[in-house]
Amino acid sequence: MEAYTATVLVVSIGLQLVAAVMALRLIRLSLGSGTAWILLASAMVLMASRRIVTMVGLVRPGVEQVVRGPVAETTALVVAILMVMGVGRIPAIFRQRDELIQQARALAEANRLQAVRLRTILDNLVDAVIVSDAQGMVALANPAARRLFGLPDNDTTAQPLGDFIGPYRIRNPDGSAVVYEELPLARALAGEVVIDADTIQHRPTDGRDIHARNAAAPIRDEAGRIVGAVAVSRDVTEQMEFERLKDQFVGVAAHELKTPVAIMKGYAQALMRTDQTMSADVTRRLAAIDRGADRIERIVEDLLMVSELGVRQLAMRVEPVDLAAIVGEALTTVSPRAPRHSLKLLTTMPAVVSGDRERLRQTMIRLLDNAVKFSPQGGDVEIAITVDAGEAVVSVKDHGVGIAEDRQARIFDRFYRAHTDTPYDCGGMGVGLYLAKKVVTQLGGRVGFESEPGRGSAFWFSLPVQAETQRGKGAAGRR
Amino acid sequence: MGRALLVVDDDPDLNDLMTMILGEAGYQVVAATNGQEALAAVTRSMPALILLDMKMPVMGGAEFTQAFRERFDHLAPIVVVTAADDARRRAEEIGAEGWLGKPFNIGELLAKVQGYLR
Repeated sequence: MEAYTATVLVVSIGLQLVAAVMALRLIRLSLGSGTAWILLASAMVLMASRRIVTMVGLVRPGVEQVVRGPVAETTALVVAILMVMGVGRIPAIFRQRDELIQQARALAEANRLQAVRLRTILDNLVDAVIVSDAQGMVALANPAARRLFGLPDNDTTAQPLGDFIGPYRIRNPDGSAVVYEELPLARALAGEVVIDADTIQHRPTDGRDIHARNAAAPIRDEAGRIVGAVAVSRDVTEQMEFERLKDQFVGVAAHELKTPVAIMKGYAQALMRTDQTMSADVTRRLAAIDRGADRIERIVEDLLMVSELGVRQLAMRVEPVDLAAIVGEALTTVSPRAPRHSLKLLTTMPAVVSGDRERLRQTMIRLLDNAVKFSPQGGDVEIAITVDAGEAVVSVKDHGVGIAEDRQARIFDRFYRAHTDTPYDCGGMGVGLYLAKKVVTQLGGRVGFESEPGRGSAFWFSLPVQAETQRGKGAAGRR
Repeated sequence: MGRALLVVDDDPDLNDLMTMILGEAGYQVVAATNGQEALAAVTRSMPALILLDMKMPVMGGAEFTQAFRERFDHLAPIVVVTAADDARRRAEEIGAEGWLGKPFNIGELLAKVQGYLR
């Protein structure tokens, strides 16, 4: 055995020498002479030879196998020659290996930097980020998410999404409880991209109610399979509180306007009633004050309703209401202030629905006022009440300016005024149709319209009629 | 004998207005500007009807109604006259007999009063 070891040793020393010589020759060829270069070259050779020894160590078992045979010396020689021939390539191989290692290190460093960068972004985001796996286990929650839910900072254990519902009392803005399938992350896990889903949740750590605005999206692998989901939530509690205060303020301000309006209106009416000696001129002026007060009152009512809708649904007093009576009352109100129009009730029939008498009367007045307002040249306004297939439909048709087609889609939007910047801008706050739709839909009905620019519009609303047997029970309905 | 009407409203202009209108319509009217004054007035002489504002300093409409009912039960009907969003709901909440929203038409006011004095 020692002979073999000795042979290998000889071979390796030989290789080192050959390598050193070849390296020196190469270096001389490329760099010219000089002591410094020689020293450098020697250092390099030493390094190279150490590697060669390592290499030989690696091939040693093989060489031993070979030199053990009958033609040991020849084989050893061949091996030595082959290896010497290969030595020339050894520096290149090592250079390649070093480059690969360098690249791998750079890649690892870049990955590390990227991870740090992402982690820093996540840690400092104002918005909460929660990632779940495909099974609905929370895999990541950034500090903002921990703040939003009041989770302990060091809690890294996976938690099922469903566990969040109970203690956080997650609910929809209307107050109804959120079930698992409605959670933004659960919806995303089902494949949906969720935008602007609002939830309200209780935060156990400080007992506060947090209003969150959430977005969520599924995470897919290369094959498109959902492997998880990410949700981003923003704490909009303060913003919502501000909105609420604003709506409340509008409500209070509108309310404060009512008393002075009552004074104006009351005294104008009192004067008209009592002083019979007044000239027709004075009476007319007083009547104008009274009408002005009425207009302020209607604006105040609109503002109150808009502010109420900003805070909650409209309070409704639901009882059986005959739409024919409502329409009659509305006509009595609107006809005197539309002297140039002819308000015609074309068809009418009893149509008892579940509704809020006052709100429906207001709604009817809004539709009639609109028809009058947007047919400034005067003319007929046609009203019809029909009952068909369990549905009562009230329609108001004018022959006025109509609504441009590109403005029809937004006609029921809050504050939208279809005639802004047109010759037919007849004023108003842009809330009449919005409020009409809110009232009718909250009562379970529908609204709609047909309109032709220059020819007029026909607005209608419908409500389910009450069966005879249900009469009198309507008051127990929704609020 | 002709028992009087009691008008309770902290706004002097509105109080005057109602007093004037009802006076001109032939009613005898006693005015009060808050619940406490109104309690003193009913103690002196029970009115036939009370027209009651809700939001008043010193003592509001709800507190007055409670105190009045405790001492006098339903000796006089109460009509709430308020600028609140839903006058009818407010009236029902405090157990008042009637309601009238502000601003009101004079005709409505007189009709309400007549209705309760029948």
